Amino acid sequence: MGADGSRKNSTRPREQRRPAGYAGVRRILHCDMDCFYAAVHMRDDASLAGRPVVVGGDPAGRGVVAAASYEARHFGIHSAMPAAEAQRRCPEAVFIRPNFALYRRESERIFSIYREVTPLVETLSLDEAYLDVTEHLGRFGSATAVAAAIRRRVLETTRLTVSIGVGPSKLVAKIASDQNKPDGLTVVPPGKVQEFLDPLPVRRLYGVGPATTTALSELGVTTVMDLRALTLDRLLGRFGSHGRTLHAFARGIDDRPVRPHRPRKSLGAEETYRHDLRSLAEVDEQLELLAGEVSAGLRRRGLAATTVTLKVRYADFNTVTRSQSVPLAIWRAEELLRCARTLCERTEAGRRPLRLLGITASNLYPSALKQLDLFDPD
Amino acid sequence: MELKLQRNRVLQELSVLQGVVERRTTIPILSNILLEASDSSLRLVATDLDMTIITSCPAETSGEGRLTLDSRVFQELVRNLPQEEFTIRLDGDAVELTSGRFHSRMSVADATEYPTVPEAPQAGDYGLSLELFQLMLQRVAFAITKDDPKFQLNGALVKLVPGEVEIAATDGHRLAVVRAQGPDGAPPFEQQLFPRKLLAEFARFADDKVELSAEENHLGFRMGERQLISRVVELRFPQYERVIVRDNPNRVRVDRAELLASLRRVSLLAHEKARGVRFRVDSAGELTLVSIGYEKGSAEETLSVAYQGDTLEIALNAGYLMEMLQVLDCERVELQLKDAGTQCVVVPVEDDPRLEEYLYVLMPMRV
Repeated sequence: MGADGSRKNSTRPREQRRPAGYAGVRRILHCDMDCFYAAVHMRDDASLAGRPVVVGGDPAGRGVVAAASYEARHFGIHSAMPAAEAQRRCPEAVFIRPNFALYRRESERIFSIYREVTPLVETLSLDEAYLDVTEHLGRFGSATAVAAAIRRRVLETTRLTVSIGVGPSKLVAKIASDQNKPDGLTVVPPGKVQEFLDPLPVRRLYGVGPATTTALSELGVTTVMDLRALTLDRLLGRFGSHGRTLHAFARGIDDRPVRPHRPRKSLGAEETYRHDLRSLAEVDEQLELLAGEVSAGLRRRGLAATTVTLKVRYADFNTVTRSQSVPLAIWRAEELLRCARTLCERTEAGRRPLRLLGITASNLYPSALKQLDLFDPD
Repeated sequence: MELKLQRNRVLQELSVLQGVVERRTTIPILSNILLEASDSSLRLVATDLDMTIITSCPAETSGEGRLTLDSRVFQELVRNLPQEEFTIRLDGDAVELTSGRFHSRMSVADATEYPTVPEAPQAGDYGLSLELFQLMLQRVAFAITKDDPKFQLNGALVKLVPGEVEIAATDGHRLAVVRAQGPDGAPPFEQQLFPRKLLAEFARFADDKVELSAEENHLGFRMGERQLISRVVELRFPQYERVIVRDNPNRVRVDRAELLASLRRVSLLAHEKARGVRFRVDSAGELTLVSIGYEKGSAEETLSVAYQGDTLEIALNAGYLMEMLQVLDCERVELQLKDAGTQCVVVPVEDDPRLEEYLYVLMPMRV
C-alpha cells in the first residue's frame, strides 16, 4: 500500500495535491451511527424525543438491552444489560422491542451513501463500517472533507446522525469516531497519531479487553504512553504473540487493510428464556429450534461449517461454551443438532437450570463445495 | 509359584498384548496383564473388555498360580533386564523378579479382581492365510469413519461364504471392497462387523494362518499359539452392494505414483479440510488436476494418461483418493467415471494376484 501510494505520487506530481506528509499514508474512516436502533425509533416517533429509550427484550421477561438512547445511558443503562435491570435503574424509560427489518432498511440506505464514496467499505455491523478513501478523495480533496460530506448526506437522507473518525489506520479511526460522540467528527492527521493515542487508557486500543487491561495494570501500564515504554521482548514474554500487536498498536502501527467483503467467520443463534430450562427434554427441544435456525442461516448464505459451538448460560449467569469440529462441513439441522447434543452432554444441562442456550457454526466455507454421500444421495 | 523365563520370548508376547492393554482407563486393573503358570508354560492375558488376547510362552515352572502386573512396568523391566534368563516368584502379595544380580520386588494386585477371561469360541476348521487377511484389512481399513458418531460405520464388514471372503468399509462418502478366495469349508459366520480397533490388532500378529471361529457373543481368531477373542458387536452396515457401479463408461488409466505425487502437490492449495480437486480429462489424453476452495490461491498440474472419450470433469476429495493410492503398490490405476455427479470407481490395473477384486467407490464433490 505504502510503496504503491508514493510511486503514484512521484509519477503524477501535482495532480493529487496531497498535503506534504501524506505520501503513502492511508486515509481510513470509521463511521459509527449514534445509538442506531434507538435513534431510528426516536426519529419515527416524536413523542420519544428527549426520553430515555431502551431497545431490547421485555423488562418483565429475561431479555437484554440491545441499544439505549443517550438519555437512557445517563442512568447507566448499556447494551447486554438485562432489560429488567435497566428498568430498575430507570423506571420511566420507554422499552421498545427491536425491529430488525426496519434497521436493516435504514442500514442499506446509509451504506449506499458510503459506497458512493469508495468501493472499499468494510461492514462491521448494521451501523458500523470502515471506509478506505485513500484513493477516493475525489472532488473533496481530503478525507476530512469526505467525512463531512458523508455526515451531511446521511443526515439529509435518513435524519440520523453518524460519528466519524478519520485516521491513517483502522485502529486510530475507530478510536477517533468514539471521541466526539454523538454527531461528531474527529480527525487525527498522520503526524498527530502518537499525540492522540498517548494519553488514552490502554483499554481503548483494539484487542485490549478486560483480561489484558488487568495484566497491563499489573505491569504499571494504564495509558498508551505507559504501554509504549515497554519493550517488545517484555510484551512478548508476558503476552506471547499478542504482545507484538500491543507493541505495534501502542505506536499507532496497524496495517490491517479495509476488507470490502469480510468473510463471515461464524453464524449463530441464541435465546434467553423467560423461564429457566430445567429438564434435558426442554433443553433438547430448544436445541432443535436453534439448530434449525442456524441451519437456515447457513443454507441462505450457501455456507457450511466444520466447527459447532454450544453456549450455555446457567441461571446464576455462569456461562460455558463447548466446541466440536467435524471432518466434513455440515449445514443440515439434524447434523448440527447431533453435534449440539454431544456437546450438551459435556455441560450440566438438565442438572442445573439454565437461562440461555446458543449454537454457533464457525470455520465456514462455501457449501457449494460439498462432499456427496454414497448412501443418501442429494 | 516360581517361573524361569527367557527374556526375548516374553518380550515378543508382551508386544502382542500391548494393543489391548488400556492405558487410560477408569478400571485400573485393565492396565495390567494376567500371568498364569501351569505345567511348562506361562499364559499371558490382556483385555480391554471388548478384546482379549491370550498368549503363552515356555517356562520352567514350579507350582501353579496366577498374578497380575502393571503391563507397562513389567514390559519395561523385562526389556531392560541384564540377562536373557530371569525368574518370577510370587511371594504372598508381592512378586520378585530376578535376573543375574538384578532383583526387584513389586506388590501385586489381587488376581481375583481381573476380569473373567472369555472362553475362545469352539474352533471349526476355517483358516485363512494370515498375510492375505492382513492385506485385505489394510486395503479397506482407511475408509472407515475417523470420528463420525454414526457408530454403524465405525468398522469393516467381513462376509464369509464357502470359497470366498469379502471385506467392505465405508464412511458414507467412499467405500472400499476387497474380495479373495476363501476356504471351502463351512464359515463360522456369514457376516460380522469388525470394529476399527480389532482391525488394527491383526497387524501385531505374525503366523501362517488365522483360524476364525464364532459363537453368540464372541469371535475367535487363533494364530498359532496366540488367540484373539473379540466381543460381537451389533451389526449395522449400509447396503453397500447397491452403490457399486461397474459400468462407468469413461476409463482413465494413470500412473499410480505420478497421480499420488501430483495430488499431494495440488491439494496443498485446496481447502484444507475438504481437499477438493477438480479432475478434467480430455480426448487428447491429458488429465488436469486443479485445486479448489482455497482462499489464497490455487494449483494445477497436467498428467498424461490413457483415455479415449469425451472431455469430462469431476471434483473429488484428494485426501480420499490419496489414502487409497497409498495402500496399493501396483503400477497403474484406472479411474472409471461417468459424470460429475456419479460415483467414481478406482481399481488397480494389475493387482496382487491373491486378490480377486479390489475396488474403491468414491462419491464426488459438488462444486
